[in-house]
Amino acid sequence: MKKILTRLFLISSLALVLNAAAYAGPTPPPPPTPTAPKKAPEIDPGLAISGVSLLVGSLTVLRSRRDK
Amino acid sequence: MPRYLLGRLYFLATVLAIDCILPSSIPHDIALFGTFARFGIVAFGIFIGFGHSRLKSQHESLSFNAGFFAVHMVCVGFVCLGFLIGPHEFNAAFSHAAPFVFRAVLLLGITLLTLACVPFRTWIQTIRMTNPLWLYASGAGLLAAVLRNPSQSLWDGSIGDRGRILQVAVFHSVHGVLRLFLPDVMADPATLVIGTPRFAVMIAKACSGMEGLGLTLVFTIFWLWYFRKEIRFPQAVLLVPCALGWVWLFNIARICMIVFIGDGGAPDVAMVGFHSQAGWIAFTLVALAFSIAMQKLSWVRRTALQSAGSVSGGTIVGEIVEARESSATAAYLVPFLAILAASFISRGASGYFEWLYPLRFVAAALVIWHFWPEYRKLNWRFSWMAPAAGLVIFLVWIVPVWWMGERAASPLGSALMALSLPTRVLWIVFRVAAAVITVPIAEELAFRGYLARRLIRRDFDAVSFDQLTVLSIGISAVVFGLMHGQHWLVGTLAGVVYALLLKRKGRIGDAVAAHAVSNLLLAAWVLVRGDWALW
Repeated sequence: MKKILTRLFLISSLALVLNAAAYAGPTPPPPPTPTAPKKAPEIDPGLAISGVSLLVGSLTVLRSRRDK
Repeated sequence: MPRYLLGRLYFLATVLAIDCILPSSIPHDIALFGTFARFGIVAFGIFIGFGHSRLKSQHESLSFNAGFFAVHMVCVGFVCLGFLIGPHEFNAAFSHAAPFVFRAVLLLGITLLTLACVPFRTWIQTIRMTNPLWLYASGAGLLAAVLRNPSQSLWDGSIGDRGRILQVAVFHSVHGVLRLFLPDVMADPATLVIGTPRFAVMIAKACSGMEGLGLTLVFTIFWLWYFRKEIRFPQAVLLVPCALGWVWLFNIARICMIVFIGDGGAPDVAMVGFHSQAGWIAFTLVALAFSIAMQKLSWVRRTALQSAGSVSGGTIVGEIVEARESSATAAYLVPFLAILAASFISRGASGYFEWLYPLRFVAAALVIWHFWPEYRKLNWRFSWMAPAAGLVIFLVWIVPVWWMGERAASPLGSALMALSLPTRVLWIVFRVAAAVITVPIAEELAFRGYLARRLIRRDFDAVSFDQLTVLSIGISAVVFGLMHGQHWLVGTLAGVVYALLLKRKGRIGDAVAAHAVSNLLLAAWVLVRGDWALW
């Protein structure tokens, strides 16, 4: 019973986190109108997974090449 | 359930995080803890972070009070239910007392959770054992609580008269740069709107550079902590403000470029593609430059002997064996990284239609060609099971879409129809070639070839594919799934299937072939049915 509860807890936590990550997608901005000034946020949260993957992957490769 | 103290504290932190996420995910207008939350989070983090080695050394098996834990869950459930129903709906008399009731119930729940995970006697022993760490942790928590408003006034105008400092600084910097290049710059300091009569942007909170500064600060501090044995202090700390300065300047350059591009007649490119990609590109460049500087600059990097000396408490030990990444890492990761980097560039140069998509194919193809001598050592043959698995994944991907009968709107179809026929055909050829050739090779090498085996051993290329474990398959599949955005669940399932095929057959060729067949069938579906949202 304890094992089942632990697994259920872990699975639901994982699903919660994954859902949050998956639905933090980029919200496509509405087509810009020619007169109104626009806001241009610096960081798009929808690109977080790609951005972090690129950074972590590049750092891993850099360190592997340094160690050679 | 972790048995020892440190694991139990991590468990406590995880449950506390869930306790915070659950009520905050329900719309409400009651601040439950406010300043106390900031104090608690920082103090707890400092206590675990700095007391890590001493807490880890505790190997007394701890009891777990399931009764306290159950009552804690009831308390959190009560607060969530209260938020769902709405305090005003309870009754008129109770609605005034609702904030206090909710705070008291949640405080009771958290207290019981704390005692459920770690018995009171153990808390006292731990505080004595780590003394005076509790004092430093409390001080840091207090500092965080006190500094909240002054630091937030850097970008938040509602905090006080001196708010929006960062926004105003960015506004004037951008204005100074634009005046050098554009003759008709308009700038309104009251609304922080800047641009030209044809295109203007507003320097909002999110444009103030705060996000890039925050990410860079987190990255640099994490780097200094993680590689503390390889770095000379305090001179290494000097590189942190340098990194912050660069990311700040990049943000000013980014906003100037947005105005240049928009004023030049491509507002879609400025506001859809460039603005969202440029921030990540800038942060990635600064983070990479920071880490390279830490490795290359001799005045911040310790020699191997100095590192060994610090590890052994000042005594230089004999031969030093550094933990090393396998030299095969680049061959497995660079094709995938090339696709990611090319996607940032191609999307950054595009509006609603990614016209530069062929760059992704060309970048990956060049890298695969470069590393081909390495790949010749792998077994690229595949059996009939690979296309069959590819077909199954395609069906799992497509059946829900087909069943629902709804096509998500996508501007891709109309953008393609606006192109001339040769350009349209060329773009589709590159898109299909990438989906069927370069993407399966790059992703299988990265996720199954590298990640799934790296999770087992550091020298991952010494691990044969049939040695993949349930955990390594699961984690690599979840990471692979997350790369597919809202299709994460099907992506994760696909990752599991490709990995199981690889484990069963022991050949990378099977996983690549299955992946290629899935993508080929999906491409055929998109082209035949015009279901462009699936691309």
